[in-house]
Amino acid sequence: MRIRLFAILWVATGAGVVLADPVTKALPAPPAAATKTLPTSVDELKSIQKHVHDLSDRLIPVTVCLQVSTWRGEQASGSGVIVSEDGLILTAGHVIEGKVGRQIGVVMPDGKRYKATVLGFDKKIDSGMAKIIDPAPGGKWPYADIAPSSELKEGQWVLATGHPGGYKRNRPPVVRVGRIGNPRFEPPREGGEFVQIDCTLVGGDSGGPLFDLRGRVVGIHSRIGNDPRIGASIAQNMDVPSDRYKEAWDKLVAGEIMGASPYLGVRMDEKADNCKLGGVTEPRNDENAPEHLKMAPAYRAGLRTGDIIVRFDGHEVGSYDEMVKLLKEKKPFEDIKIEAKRGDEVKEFKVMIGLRSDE
Amino acid sequence: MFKRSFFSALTILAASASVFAQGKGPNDRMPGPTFANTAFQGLFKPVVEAAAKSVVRVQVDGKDAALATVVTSDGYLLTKASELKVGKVTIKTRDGRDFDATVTATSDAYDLAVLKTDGSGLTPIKWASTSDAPVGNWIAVPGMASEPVAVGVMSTKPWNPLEQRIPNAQSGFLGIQLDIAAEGAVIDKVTPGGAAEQAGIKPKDVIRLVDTQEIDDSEILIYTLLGYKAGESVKIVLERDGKRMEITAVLGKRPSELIPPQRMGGGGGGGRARGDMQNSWGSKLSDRRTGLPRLFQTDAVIKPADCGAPVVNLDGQAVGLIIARAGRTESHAIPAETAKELVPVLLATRVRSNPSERVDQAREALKKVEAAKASSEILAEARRQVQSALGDEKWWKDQKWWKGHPIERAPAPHLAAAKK
Repeated sequence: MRIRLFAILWVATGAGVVLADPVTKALPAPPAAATKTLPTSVDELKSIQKHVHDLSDRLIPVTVCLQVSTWRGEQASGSGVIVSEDGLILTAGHVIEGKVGRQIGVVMPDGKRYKATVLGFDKKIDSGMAKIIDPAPGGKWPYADIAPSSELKEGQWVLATGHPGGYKRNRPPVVRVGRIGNPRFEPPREGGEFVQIDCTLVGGDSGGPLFDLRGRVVGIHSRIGNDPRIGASIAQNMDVPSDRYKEAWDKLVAGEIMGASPYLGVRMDEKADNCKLGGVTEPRNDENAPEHLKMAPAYRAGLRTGDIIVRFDGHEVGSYDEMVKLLKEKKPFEDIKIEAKRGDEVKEFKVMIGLRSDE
Repeated sequence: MFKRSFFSALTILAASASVFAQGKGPNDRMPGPTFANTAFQGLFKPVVEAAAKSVVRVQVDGKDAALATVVTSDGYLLTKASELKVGKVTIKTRDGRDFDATVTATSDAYDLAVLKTDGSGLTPIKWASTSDAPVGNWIAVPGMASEPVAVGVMSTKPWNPLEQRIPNAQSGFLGIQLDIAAEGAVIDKVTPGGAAEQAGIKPKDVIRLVDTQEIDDSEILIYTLLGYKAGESVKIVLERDGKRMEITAVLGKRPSELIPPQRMGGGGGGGRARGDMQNSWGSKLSDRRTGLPRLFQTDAVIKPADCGAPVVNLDGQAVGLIIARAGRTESHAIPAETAKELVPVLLATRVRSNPSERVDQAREALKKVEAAKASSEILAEARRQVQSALGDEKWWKDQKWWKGHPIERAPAPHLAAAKK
């Protein structure tokens, strides 16, 4: 109920979280020197420095490390940012990708660990959300406000935090300062729109926040590039714009998986009048293979070409189309039972539904 | 051991070179990085002016190897040890003078080498403290020109990393998976047939102690277990249903798919570093970039050959000594307060002492830091210096031809070791 209420409040106010005060509430406005393209004196550097230091003090406490298991059972580490007093966390979609509702670990800057649950994510946009389920030590989590990414300008100073290389004992979240290179960067092939910054990012930073100089979240770290044709690699750091989270807020809170469809990895047997499988996709293990081909859910579960699916998650299936209809109603990473006829025998298979990125 | 030791290798950030492949989109303009902007760097000229007087260029066989920071007026300097390959070490001052230099001591832990030159008129650095540059403050690294060689911000306060232990074919393997969402080292799964299962470890057990090492989270457990080899037995104290119990596990062999490929480093401990493609994107990394007992991080992009210089804040105060380009997001610096305490320990062994005198000098230095109640890092370094002097003494005694030559005629200890 609380989550729901929160979502309604969000929609009603349009921006920002109104339940309590963000960590930057009492922060003075950024100095005039920070609004210039570049400072022009040591004194101006000092005025920016004082402000950035005040910001860091407030924003390190809302930056968290997320420790997750992937669908393969590997344990991995990303970053996130708390954006509400009841513990909503924004992160990158690929950090939490997997079964919605599963538990992940949250490491606070002081090393204390809490449990969170995975909410929704968008595979294509790379946005994601989680929520801390343990109670906050003081009753409320420290949190940061969110600002519209549509107002970002080239050359604007920003601050990035996160856990590059993963959480390291004794090391608080790492601060980087830089500027927006291109606030609406469109990578030619993959599409979408990212905030490109010169704050350097690396593995483990994913999901970590990008802040404007008022300490508000304007982006979430997503990816880096290394293409010499478009500039220095060191400047190829991309964030998901905060607006992508706002647009899909309710869906993220509700635990929806967006930008991807459920995937099984089977083909129909054109000649059959039942749900006979004309092919079952074998898993690919090469690093560059698309995720769904690595998953190959049907094959991993033991289904093989020639099997005839008779029941899908408890429902009788008479044709391939019927099966596909049922599949589309499933959530990726859900575990289901499939019964299939092989020869005279009906076998039961436990299948984890895969996900395939939408084109 | 278990999958989480692959941790860093699995840290998540989509790396997509393909993102940019082909063609120009309508909105793919990308300005260069601010910190490499000449006008921006130029702003820091007055900031680095004073500290730059304490910076010299170190060359090996006439090639730039590192920068060095002058620490005494009689010609002692600190530089990055692993950049000094075997060869003739010389220094170049800002006013264009060249001097021969001798390595008088090294600290493997801090990757520091002490150089002694006969150069006169050198200005020693005045160490400030990292408290003079809190997180988010601008920093700059002076070089040989009037502009700094790098600028950035303080990314972290000083911290003590766990020593990096990279799994190899000999590493022991307990065969457990930990509950990532739990406080402490809580077992989630036990590998069938693995060492843990054979020792009777069960899911939900909480590991509290491995031999003498207290375990309070999963990271320290991974780190501790990586210190053992396959076949070795470990005493494990664990908690099950609130009751403490002690078991002994004989560690098994680590599955080959859980051993990261060895990176062939360029020497100086490079082999210790994990191959990490993303970290190498954007700048050349130092060969030796791990293992510091205490450091702070900055996002300044430093060249490996510019390590060894001081790091200054906007007031020109030296808050550290830059020691490694360690990754895409980080350069590592030894905090000024640590460097300041290290100097007397490392300078205790003098250039004209013989190996036995060096042992005495190192012991004397250890006594002094003990009496001064120095930090645990400095005590540890002073103890390592004694061990290193003892090791050198033994090495020299083992050389049949050695009849008490002064050590200055011998290669520096770390270079002697390289030649063995």
